[in-house]
Amino acid sequence: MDNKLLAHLRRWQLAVWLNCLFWLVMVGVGAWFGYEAMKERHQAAVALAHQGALRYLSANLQQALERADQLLWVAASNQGPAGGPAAAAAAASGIPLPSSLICAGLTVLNARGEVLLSEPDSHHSGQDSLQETERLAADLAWHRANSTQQMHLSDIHQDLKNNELDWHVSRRINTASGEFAGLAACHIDLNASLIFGSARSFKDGTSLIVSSDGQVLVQNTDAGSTLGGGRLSPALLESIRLAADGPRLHLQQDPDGEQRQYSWLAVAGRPLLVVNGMSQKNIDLLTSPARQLIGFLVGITSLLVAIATAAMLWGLRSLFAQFVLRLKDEQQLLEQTQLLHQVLNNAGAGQWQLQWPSMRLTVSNLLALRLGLQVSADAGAPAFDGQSSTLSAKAWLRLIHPADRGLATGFAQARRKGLETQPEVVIRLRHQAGRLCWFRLSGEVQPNQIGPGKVLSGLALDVTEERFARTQIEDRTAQLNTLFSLSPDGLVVFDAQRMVKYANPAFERLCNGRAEQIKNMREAEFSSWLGSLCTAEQAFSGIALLRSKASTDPNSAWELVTTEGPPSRVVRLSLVLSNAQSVSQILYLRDVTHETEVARVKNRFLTSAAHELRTPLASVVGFAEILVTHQLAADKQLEFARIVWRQSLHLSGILDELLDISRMDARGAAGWHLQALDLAELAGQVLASFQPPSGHLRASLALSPLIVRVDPMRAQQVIRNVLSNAYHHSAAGSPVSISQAPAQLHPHSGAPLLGIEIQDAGAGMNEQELAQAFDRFYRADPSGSRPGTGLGLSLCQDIMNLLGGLILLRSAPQQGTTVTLLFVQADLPVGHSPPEPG
Amino acid sequence: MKTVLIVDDHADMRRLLSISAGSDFHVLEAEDGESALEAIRRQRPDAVLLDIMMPGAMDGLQVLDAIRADPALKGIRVAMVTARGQASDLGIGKAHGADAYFVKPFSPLKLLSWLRSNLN
Repeated sequence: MDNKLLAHLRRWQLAVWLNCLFWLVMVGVGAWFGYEAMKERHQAAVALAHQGALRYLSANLQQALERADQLLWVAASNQGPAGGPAAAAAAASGIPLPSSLICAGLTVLNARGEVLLSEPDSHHSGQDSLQETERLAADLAWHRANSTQQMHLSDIHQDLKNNELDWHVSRRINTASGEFAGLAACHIDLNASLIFGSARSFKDGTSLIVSSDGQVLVQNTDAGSTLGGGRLSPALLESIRLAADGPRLHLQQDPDGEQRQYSWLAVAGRPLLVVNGMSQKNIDLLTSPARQLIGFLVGITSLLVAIATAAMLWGLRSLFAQFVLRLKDEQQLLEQTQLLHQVLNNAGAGQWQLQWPSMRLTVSNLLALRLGLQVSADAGAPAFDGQSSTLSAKAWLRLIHPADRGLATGFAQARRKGLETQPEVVIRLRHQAGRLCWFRLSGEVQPNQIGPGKVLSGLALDVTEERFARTQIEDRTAQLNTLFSLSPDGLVVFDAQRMVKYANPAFERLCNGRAEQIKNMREAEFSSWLGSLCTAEQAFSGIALLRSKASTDPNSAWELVTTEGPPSRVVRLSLVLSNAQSVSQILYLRDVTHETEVARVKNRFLTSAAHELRTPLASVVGFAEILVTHQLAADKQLEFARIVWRQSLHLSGILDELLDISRMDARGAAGWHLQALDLAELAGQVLASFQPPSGHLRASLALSPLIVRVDPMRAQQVIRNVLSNAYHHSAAGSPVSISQAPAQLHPHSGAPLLGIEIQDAGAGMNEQELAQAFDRFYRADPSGSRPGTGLGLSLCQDIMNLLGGLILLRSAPQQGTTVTLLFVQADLPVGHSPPEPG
Repeated sequence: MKTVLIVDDHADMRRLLSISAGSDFHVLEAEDGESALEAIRRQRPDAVLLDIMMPGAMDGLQVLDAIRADPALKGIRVAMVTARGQASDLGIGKAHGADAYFVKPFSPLKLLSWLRSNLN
């Protein structure tokens, strides 16, 4: 761009320079023409001066010669046939002679040379007279020889006396017969003032009287007149000879160093020329003011041209500089506009304009394309970025979601009225593809620059993604809030300053409702507050410790605490560090009371089970080893083998019961077949199949039908177990009876219960034993002398609970034990009659 | 002949321990802690094979503590023979001053070799 501009600038500069040159040439040409015209006029003037001088000189000379001729003619005529020289002289003396200043010394001579008349001449005397006489003699001789009647011009001489030039002239006097009779002579006083007068108007000039053959007769200069001694220069002579059509000017360098301009004129009727020479130096002096004027004018004009050129060049440069600046500004503006559009486009924004009252809405193509509209160039529309689309506002309104149309028009009206209540509005526009786009509109009202009315122009920012994101965030927040509030686990959220920001309802529940004051509590304060809720055995070590654990190993940042009751809880506290801006850490509390208890029970059960298994196993392993490694007598071998057999059976029994317990723990009553059955019938079946230990009596059974809802297998298992216990804890021969228990309601479920009582008259149990009777692996007699696993009653209780019934113990030491088994009463199965009352 | 006291509430186990000690030792038996301690004080056996979990007021560890606390009973070798086989139980036994710890089921031969190497 700069290079292009520079080329432009250079072209313009060249044009200015050419313009300057043109005007300088014009000034030169004008000056030359002016000078020429002036020179011509001067030459004319000089020529006129020449002409005047020559005419003057010639006229003066001619007049002088004419007068002398006239005088001589008169004198000669009077001397002629009529009277001769004497008469001539006489006549002459009577003739009014011209001014003696011009002609003087009239002398008439006869043929013999005798002076007939001699006009006294004051000039001549002495020596002069002598010379005069010689001249007259010469004239006489000449005239005698030449019969011409013309006046003879003899030599010019210098009068020594008064130092004047006298021109001696003579005329022949003829007799009547035409013979030479003498002459009349006089001399013309070539007095400078008379002849040359003011012939020379210039200094250093010269005037010459020259004979026709080029002999200079008289020369008049500023110093006066002198006798001419030389001839004209051959060049001048040549110039004169060639000037056929009239005199010309001739320039030459004279011996005195002066350059002169010569002109000449032939004296009419005489073989004479008058020549006028003007000093060129002085002619030049004449023209110098004009030349100076022209020079001055040329100088001034050139200066003006130069100034004008400089001004134009300067102006041009500054103009170009401004132009370049403007161009740069425009370029910058263009770039900024492009940048703006790019930014707008990237930001998902577009421009729009609503015009009143035409109600035409113009949108930039950026916006139109965002809505999937066909973009069209509209010449009449105000262009934002060169291209835009215009539609009527109604057509646009159709693009707006129906629910948002009121918003959009309300916004436009508010902006039109200049209300600041609604600086922007978010509306949904329907994309051509059918989906909805969210746009945030903002705008300002301005007077219409190109027409009547007002213009509301502004930006439409595509906030669809933002809306979408916001909706998602709101959704998630709602979800999270729900999760937080529904979470069974306690959550305490700490803000960036590690102050309690939020605690969910579960936390308050875990704190047994003592968590009202924790909001905005500092971390240390919170730690000590939480510590105060914990028991000394399992106290809280503080959040700071948890945080230091979390920063090294996030999985290790937890600890168990036990809160003071009621109810006392075992809580697992864990801390999660957060990178979120507003959340520094989250304390997570899980109530693990139940899990802890379950784990504790399970652990104790497993330990007990292992112990119970190890004891019979030790007998099996130990006796087996002895049987293998020792040489034993046959009776000992048999004894040891029996022990191994018995303990193996015992192990097997323990394992069966363990499996039963485990199965019930895992599956509950699943897979049981509950049905309405007669309990009396079930008890009878058990009793029938049960083989009492040796020496024991068969149990007595006194039951009417009891219809209960049971799984027959489980019910029989319970009855058999209890029966077995009754036999095992009573001495041989001691009675065991099965009788009907009084009906009652279940204390928790309220279900009507029917059942049986199994009573023995054995050792019975004290209170402590009674309390532990249902514990797993508890045995009233752990010595191993009585068979049993310690699981029986526990198993029975589990089964009775799963059947919805109850198992109750009544016992005292040495007074036997009564076990009551109560089952849920069932409706009568078809074909059965109701039990008899009593 | 050295005397060994066997303390266990299970008759089969007492029988097994007695058989294990064999004919090399004079074997005494006790069913619970109190009777065991009484037998120890009275007869001062050279070694005691002591079960831990026993009915009654004293369990095996309490009997052991009593033996170790009594200067008169110094030098009695005590081996715990118990079903409590967890590592922590072994540590506890050692801490109470048991000389050996046999977990049920145990090898009668090993028990015998312990008795022989500790009493002869």
